[in-house]
Amino acid sequence: MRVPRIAAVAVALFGLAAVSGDAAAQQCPKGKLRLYTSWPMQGAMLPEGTGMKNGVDLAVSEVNGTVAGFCLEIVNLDDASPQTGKWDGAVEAENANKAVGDPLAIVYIGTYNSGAAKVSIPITNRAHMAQVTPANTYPGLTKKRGAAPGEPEIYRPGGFVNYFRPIPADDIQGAVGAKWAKRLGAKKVYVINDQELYGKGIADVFEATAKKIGLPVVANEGIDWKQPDQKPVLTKIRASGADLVYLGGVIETGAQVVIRQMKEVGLTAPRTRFMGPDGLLEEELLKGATCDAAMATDMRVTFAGLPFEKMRGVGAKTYETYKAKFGKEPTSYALYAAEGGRVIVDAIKRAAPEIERAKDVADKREALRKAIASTKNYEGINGKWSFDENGDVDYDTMSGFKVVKADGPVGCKFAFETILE
Amino acid sequence: MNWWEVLVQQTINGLTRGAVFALIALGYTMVYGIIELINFAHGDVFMLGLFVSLAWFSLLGVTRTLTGWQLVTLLPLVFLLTMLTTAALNVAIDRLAYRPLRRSPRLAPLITAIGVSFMLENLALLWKGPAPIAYPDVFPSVDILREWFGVDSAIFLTTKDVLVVVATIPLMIGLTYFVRRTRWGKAMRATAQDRETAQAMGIDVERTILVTFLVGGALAGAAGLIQGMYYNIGMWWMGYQAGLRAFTAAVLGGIGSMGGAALGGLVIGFLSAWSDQYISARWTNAIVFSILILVLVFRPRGLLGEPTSDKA
Amino acid sequence: MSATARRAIGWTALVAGLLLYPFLDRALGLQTVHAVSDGMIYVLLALGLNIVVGYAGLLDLGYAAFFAIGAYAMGLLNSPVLGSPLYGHPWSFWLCIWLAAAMSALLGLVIGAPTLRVRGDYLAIITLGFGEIIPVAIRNLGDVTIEIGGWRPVERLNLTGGENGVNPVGRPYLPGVPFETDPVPWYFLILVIGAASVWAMSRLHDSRLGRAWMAIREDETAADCTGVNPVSTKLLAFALGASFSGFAGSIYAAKLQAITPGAFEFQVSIMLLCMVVLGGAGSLRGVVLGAMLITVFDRVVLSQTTFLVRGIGRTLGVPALAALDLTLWRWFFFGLGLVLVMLLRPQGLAGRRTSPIAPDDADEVTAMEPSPPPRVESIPGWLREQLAPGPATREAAILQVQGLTKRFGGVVALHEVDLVVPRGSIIGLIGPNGAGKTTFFNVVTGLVRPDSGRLTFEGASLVGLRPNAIVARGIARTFQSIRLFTHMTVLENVLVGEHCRLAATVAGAVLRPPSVTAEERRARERARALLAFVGLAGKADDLARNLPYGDQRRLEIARALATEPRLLLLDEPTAGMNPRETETLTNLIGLLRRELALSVLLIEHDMAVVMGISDRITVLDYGTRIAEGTPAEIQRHPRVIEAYLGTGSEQESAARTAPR
Repeated sequence: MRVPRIAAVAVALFGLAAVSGDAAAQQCPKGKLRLYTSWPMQGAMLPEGTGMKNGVDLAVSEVNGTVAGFCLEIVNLDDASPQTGKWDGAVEAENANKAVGDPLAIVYIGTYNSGAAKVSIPITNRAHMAQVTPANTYPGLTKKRGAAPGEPEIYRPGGFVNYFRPIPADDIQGAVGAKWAKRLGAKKVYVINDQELYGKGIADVFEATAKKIGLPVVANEGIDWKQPDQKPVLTKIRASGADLVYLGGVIETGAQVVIRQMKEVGLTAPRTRFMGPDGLLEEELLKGATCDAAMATDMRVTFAGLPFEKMRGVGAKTYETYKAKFGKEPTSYALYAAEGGRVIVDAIKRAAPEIERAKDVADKREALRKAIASTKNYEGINGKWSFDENGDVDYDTMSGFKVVKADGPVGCKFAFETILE
Repeated sequence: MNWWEVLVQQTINGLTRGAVFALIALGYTMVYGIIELINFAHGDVFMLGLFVSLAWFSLLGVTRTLTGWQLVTLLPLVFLLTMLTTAALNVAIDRLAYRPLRRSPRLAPLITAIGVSFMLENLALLWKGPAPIAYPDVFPSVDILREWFGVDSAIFLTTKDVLVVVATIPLMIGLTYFVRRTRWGKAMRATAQDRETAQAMGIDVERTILVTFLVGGALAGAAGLIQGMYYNIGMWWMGYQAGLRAFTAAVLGGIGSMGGAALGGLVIGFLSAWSDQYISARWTNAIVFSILILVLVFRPRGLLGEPTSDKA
Repeated sequence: MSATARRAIGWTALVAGLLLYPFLDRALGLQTVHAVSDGMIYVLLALGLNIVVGYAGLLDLGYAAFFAIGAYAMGLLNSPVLGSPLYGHPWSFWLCIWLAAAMSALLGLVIGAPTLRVRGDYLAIITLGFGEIIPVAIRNLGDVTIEIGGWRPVERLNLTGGENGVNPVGRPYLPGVPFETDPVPWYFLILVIGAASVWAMSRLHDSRLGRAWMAIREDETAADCTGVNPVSTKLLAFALGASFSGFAGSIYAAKLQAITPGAFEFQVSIMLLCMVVLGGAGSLRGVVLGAMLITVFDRVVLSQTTFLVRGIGRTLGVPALAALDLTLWRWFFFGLGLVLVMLLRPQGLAGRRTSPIAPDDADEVTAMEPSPPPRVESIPGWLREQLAPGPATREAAILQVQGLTKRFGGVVALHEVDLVVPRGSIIGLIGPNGAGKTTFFNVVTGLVRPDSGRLTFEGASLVGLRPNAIVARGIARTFQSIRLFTHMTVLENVLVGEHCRLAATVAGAVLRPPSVTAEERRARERARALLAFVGLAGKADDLARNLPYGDQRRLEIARALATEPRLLLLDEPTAGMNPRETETLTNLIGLLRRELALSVLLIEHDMAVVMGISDRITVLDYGTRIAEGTPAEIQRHPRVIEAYLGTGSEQESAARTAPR
C-alpha cells in the first residue's frame, strides 16, 4: 500500500531533521523562546531576505542568545511560493499558523510584502502574538490614512494592536516623494505602478499628494510587469510630455526593464527624469543592466529613514557591526530587521517576570505584546522614537537617494542626496 | 509628438515586438504541426538563446558595440553559433523528454514539456542569478531619421529597430524556402499531414521530427539573440511569458501554418502596442486574449488555418 | 486472505489514518496539518479539473479562472468591509459556498460556450485566454471609472478590491467548532467536502454521463453518431468541473481569510494540470495522489530535505553541504520529477495500464475461438419489444431521399441522388471507390449538411439535425474504418449506445434514486443481452482496443443496435473479414431484418454479400445514381458494368467486385 509507505518516509525525514538540528547546549534556566521570521528567501528576493535574516541574527547575537534567563531561538521561514517565486498568501498563512501553533513561539517577525502581512496579522492577533515587521510600509496595516475601507481594524480581530513597525509608512513616503519631485522642478508627472499592493498604494499616495500641491499628474497607470517590453507604455509617456516618471514598484516586478527602456525611447534627463520609492532601493536593481539608464534618467529614490552612512549613534554603530559581522553592506531593510530584533529583546527583558509567571502560552505572548507596545523613547538607528497607539513609529525622517557613478563591477550606486520632510 | 507620430512610433514598437513573437511562434507551430505537442519548453529555449548568445559574445571577447568589419563577421558568426547551440538543445530535449512518449497519451509529453520548462528556468536562474542580466550594446544604435536623413522628427527609428525586422525577414524567407523546396521540408509537410501515410511512403518520420526540432530551436535561438541585442536586458523568467504570447500568436494565425504564425506574431505585436497607447497597459493582456477568443469563435482554425472537414 | 477482505482492511486503514492524522500530527508536534489542508484544497481543484481533462478529454489551461471566481464569490459575499451595498452584509459561509459553486459553474458554461464551434487544442487556447482575462479583470475592476464625454456616471467604483484583494473573508460558523487558527476543523471540513466530491465523482464516472464524457474523449464524431450530444456533454463537463473549483475557491478564501488577485495566475492552472496528469488523468485515486504529492513535496519534503542535508553537512563537517540550499533547485527537481514520472509511467502514477494491442490477425483468433452463429432465440427480448412496429407505420418508406446534392469546394460529391428505403427492407449501396457512398451516409446521419435535396425519415425531415438528434430519431450507423471507444470496455461501448435512451441527470447519477438504479441495471442487462446476441458474451470487460478485428466489427454493430434504431446504416461491415465471419455477419443482418423488421442500408464491396442479401440495390458513380433495381437487374445493367470495368482507372475495385 502506497499511503503508509509515504507516511513512513515522511516520519523518518522529520525524525532525522529533528535530530540533525541545532542541539547546542545553553544555559536556559527559564526555558526557550522562539522568534519566527517570515519573508521571501528565494529568487530576486534572496539577497534582501538574507539581509533581514542577518539583521535579526545580529540583534540576538548581541545578547549572546539569552535574555533574562531565556534562550532565544530564531526560526526562519520563507513565504514565497515556488510556483511564482513571489510571496504567496497560503504559504504566509501557513507560516503564521506554524508560529502560532508552536508553544515556544513568542513573536513573529515579518513580513516583507504588505500583502502577506494582511494575511498573517489577523492570525497572530488571535493568538495575542506580537508581530514586528522590518519592511512593510503599506499604510492600511496600521492606520486610516491611505487605507482601504475597514482597515486597519479588520486586521485586529482581538480588538488590540499586535502589529508594530519600526519604520515609517508609505502615506508619508509617497507624499514626501511628490514634494521632492516638485522641489526638483518637475512640471508634469506620469505615474505608473506594477499593480501590486505596495506599488499601487504608494503610487496612489504620490498621485494624490502631487495633485494637492499643484503638480499635474497625467495618469496613474498600471503596467503588465511580466512583459519584457515596456516600450509602448513609455512611448505613450513620451507623447504625453511628462518630465518625471514615478514608478510604484519593487525590484521583483520588472523595474529594471522600465528604467532600461526609458533610455531606449529617449526619456532621459534633462527632459524626463525618473523617481521611485524604497522598493527600488536595492543593489540588485543596479546590477540588472540598469546603471547607464539609471544615470541617464537622473534616477532618484525615496527611503523611509536615514541612509546607513548618515546615521549617528546607535545607527552608525549598528551599521559598522553589521559590516564587520557579515562582511558586506547591509541590504535596505537589514538594519530595520536588527532594530526590530532589538526592540523585541528589550521588551522581553522588561516583560521577563510576567512571561515567567504566565499561566499559558497566550499569557506569555500577551505579556510580550504589551511590553513591545509600551516601547517609549527607544534609542534606535534613526534616533529616539516611540510606538504610537497604532503600532507605528512617531518619526518620519525620510531620505532621498540619487544614482551616481561609482567604481566597482556594478558601475554606479545609490548615493544619499538629501533629507526629506 | 502629434497623433500620427504617436501612431507611427507605436506601430514601430508593435512591429519589432511582433517580429520576435513571430520567430518564436514559428517554432511552436512547426512542432505542433508535426507531433501535436504544445511545446511549453520552447519559450525557455528562446530565453536560453539570449543567455547563450551572451556567452558566445563574451567568449569571443565582445563587450562593446561592434563596428565595421567586426559587425559583418562576428555578428553572423554569433548568430550561427547561437542557433546551433539552441538547435542542439532543442533536439536533445526532444530526444530525452518527448521521443520516448510518441505513442503515449497526448497529455504525457505536454507534462514533460512543462517539466523541462521548469528545469531550464531553474538552470538559467542558477547560472546568471535572479537579477536581470545586462546585455551589451553589441549592435550600433543610430537614430536613422536624425543622423542619416537630417530630419528632426519626434519619431525614433534606430538601426536596432531595422535590425529586428531585417534579421527576421531572411530567416522567414529561408524557412519558407526550406519547407517548400527542400526534401526535408517536403518530408516535414507530409509528416505533418499524415504521419502514417508519410511513413508508408518511405519518409523517415523520426528524422523529420528531429529536423523540425532543429529548425525550431535555431529560430528560437535567433529570436533570443535579437531580443538581447534589441532590449539589452535578459531575465531568467522571460521565456514563460514570451512563450505564452508566441503560442497565442501561433494559434491566432492558425496552428500548423507558418504564414499564420508570422501573421499572428505581428498582429499580437501591433494589438498590444496600440492597446498600451490607446486603451491602457493594464487591460492589454485581456484585450489581446479577448480578440484571440473572438477570432477563434468566428474562424475556428485561426486566421490562416486550413478548414478540415471531419471525415467519418 | 481474500481480495475483498484485503480491500476492506485497506479502506479501514485509510479512513482511520485520515481521521487520526491531525491528532497524530499534534501529538508529534509536526505542525503539518495546515500544509496538508492546503494541499487538500488543491486536491479538490484537481478533482474538478479531472472531469474536464481526465473524463471529457478537453485540455483546459485556464482552470485557475474558476478557482478565482469561487474565491471571489465567497470573498465578496462574505466580507464585511467592501464598500458596495451588496457586500456590506456578510452572508453565511454555508450559503456562500453553494453560491460560489454556482457562479463558477456559470462561468464554466461561458467558457465552454465556444465549444459549440471550436475543437481540440483551439479550445485549450480559449481556456488559456479566459485564464488570463479573469485575473486582469479582477485586478482592474477594483477601480472602475466610466467616462462618457465629460460625464462620469461611475467614478472609482470598487467591485473586486483591486490589487488589495478582499480582506478579511468571513469564517464558517458552526456551534462549538472553532474555525480559527486551529487547522483541525478546517482539515475535517475539507476532508468531508473532499470525500463527498470523490464519492460524487466516482458515481458520475459510472453513470450515463460519465460514459458520455469518456466517449467524447475517445472519439467525438463516433460519440455524436452514437447519440451523445457533444455540445451539452462538454458544457456539462465544464460546468461541473468548474463547480468543484467553486467549493475549493471558497474554502481557500475563508481559510486564508484574504484573497489577492496574484494567487490565480497561469502557473496555478499549469500546476493543477500537472497534478491531474501526473497522478493519472481520469483516475480519481491518481488525481488525489498527484495533487497530494506535488503540494507535499513542495511545502514539506523539500524544505525538510534542505534542513536535513544541512544538518548532515554540519555533523560531517562538510561546509558545502551545510550551506547548500536545495530550495534554490526546487524548480529543477520539480521539473525533473515531472519528466521522470511521465517517462516511466506515461499514463500517470495510478493511470490504467494499457496492455499491448492485440495482434490484428483476425483469422488466428477466430480459429481458436469461433464465434457462434446468431440464433433467433438469442435476439434480446427487449430489442424485440422496442422495435415492434408501432402505430406510426403509415408510410411504406422509412427513409426517402430526393435530389440530394453535396459539393466540397469544386467537387460534386453527390449529385441529385434519389433513394428510398422501404420499411423492413435491406438496400444495398454500391459503387466504385470515391463514388460518394460514405458521403451519402454522412449526409443521412447529419455529419455533413447537404447543399440541397430532401431527406425524410418516417415522414419528418432530417435536414439540419445534429447527428445525435438523428440517432435519437432512430437511425444508427457503423463506420468504414471502425470507430470504437478504444479505451473503454466492450460493455461500456454498448452502454454509450443506450445513452440517448436513458434519462439519468447529474443529480440522479450522483444520488441514485431507485428509478436511476433500476434504469442502470436494466441498461446493463440489455447491453449484456446484446453482447451475447452478437457473440461477445465473454468479453464484456475487455478493453475495446484489445478485441480482434472481427469482434470489433460486431461490437460496433451491437453499439449501433443499442441505440434502438429502426434504420441501420452499415458501412462495409464485412471489410477485412474472413469468409466465415462474413457469413456469420450476413446471417446476422438477415436475422435482424426478418425478426425485428429492421431496415438496413448497406454499403458493401463484397458483391456476393450485397447481391445475396439486398432487396434492391442503388449504384452510385461520381456522386450520381446510375442504376437502381433488384440484384439481378443490377448485375445486367450496362452502366454498372461500365462503371466497374470501364475505364481501367478502377482496376483495384474491379478486381474486388468481380462476381464470385
